[in-house]
Amino acid sequence: MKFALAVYGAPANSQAPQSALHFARALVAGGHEIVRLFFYQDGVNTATAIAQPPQDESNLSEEWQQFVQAHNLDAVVCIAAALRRGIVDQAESDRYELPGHNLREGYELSGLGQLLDGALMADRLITFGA
Amino acid sequence: MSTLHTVNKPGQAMALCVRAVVSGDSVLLIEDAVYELLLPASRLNALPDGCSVYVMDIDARARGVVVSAPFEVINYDRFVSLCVDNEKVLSWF
Amino acid sequence: MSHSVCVISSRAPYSGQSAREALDTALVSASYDIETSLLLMGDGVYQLLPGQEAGDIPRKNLAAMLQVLPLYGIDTIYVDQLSLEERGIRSDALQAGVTVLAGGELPLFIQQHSRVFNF
Repeated sequence: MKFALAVYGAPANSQAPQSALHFARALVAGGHEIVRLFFYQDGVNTATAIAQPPQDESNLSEEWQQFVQAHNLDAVVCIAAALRRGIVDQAESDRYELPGHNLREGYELSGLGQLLDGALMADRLITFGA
Repeated sequence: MSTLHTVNKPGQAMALCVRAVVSGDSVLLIEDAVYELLLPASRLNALPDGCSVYVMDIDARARGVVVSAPFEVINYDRFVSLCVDNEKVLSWF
Repeated sequence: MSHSVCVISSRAPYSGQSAREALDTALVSASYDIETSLLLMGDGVYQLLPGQEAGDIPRKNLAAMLQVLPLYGIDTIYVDQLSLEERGIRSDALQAGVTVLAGGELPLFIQQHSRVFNF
């Protein structure tokens, strides 16, 4: 079955990205297809490359990236929500003349339409709220 | 046509979920929603007949919440099966 | 297969970006020519209170944004009656183009839509 996953919570103030990762792993193990991951609202913080949790804690952003890359997933970060919260790729950094960029590789900044598209493509939309 | 409702906290999320549930639907408590099981006046008591309530095992265990019948403890594999078995999944948070 | 979308918005207008980002989702859906309903529940019903002047916070006036939804093809805003009552808001004080749903109507209303987005 085809699934679209939406993540609305940030690693530092919500269990949402952790629960979503547990769920995504179970989907893959069960032979299901993840047609889109969409990070929206504070969930966009999951895609930051520069969060550095203490060494004795898990690095959820890194785990998510490894999962996305290992399964070659279509992982979209809402561009408007990301810009608002300081998550940018090289192109957006250049466009707004920002001092750096921090979007992890494997993710794409794109519009909210990708959430709609994902939900329409999939048989089920599962949302992990903050 | 049945729906799986996930809830991730007590309070408003639980209140709105209960309002949207009909007989035959399933409710899954994840994250802080497992604390709903401790409430003396839990809204789960107001669910219509014929609804199943599931509780995410790792979330209940993490919080020291003990789950007993009629509530069923499940893992993520079962969460996936519930998503397949129900036509829609609504998420209350 | 023709789709219909229900966006459920359950947060107060100015506590974070949730109300705005739910509204954006409804607007994008409507812009795809998908039949789209916006349903306000819980604290989301505060979005409809008349007399909002958010310029000094400063934020964009969310009630004003809701008022122009018909221009984007969303003619009716649906509101959960119980959520209004719990918060002491009278439905006759709300803007035109609002449809109040009684408790018993909610499940069926939501189920009519092929895709539901919770916020």
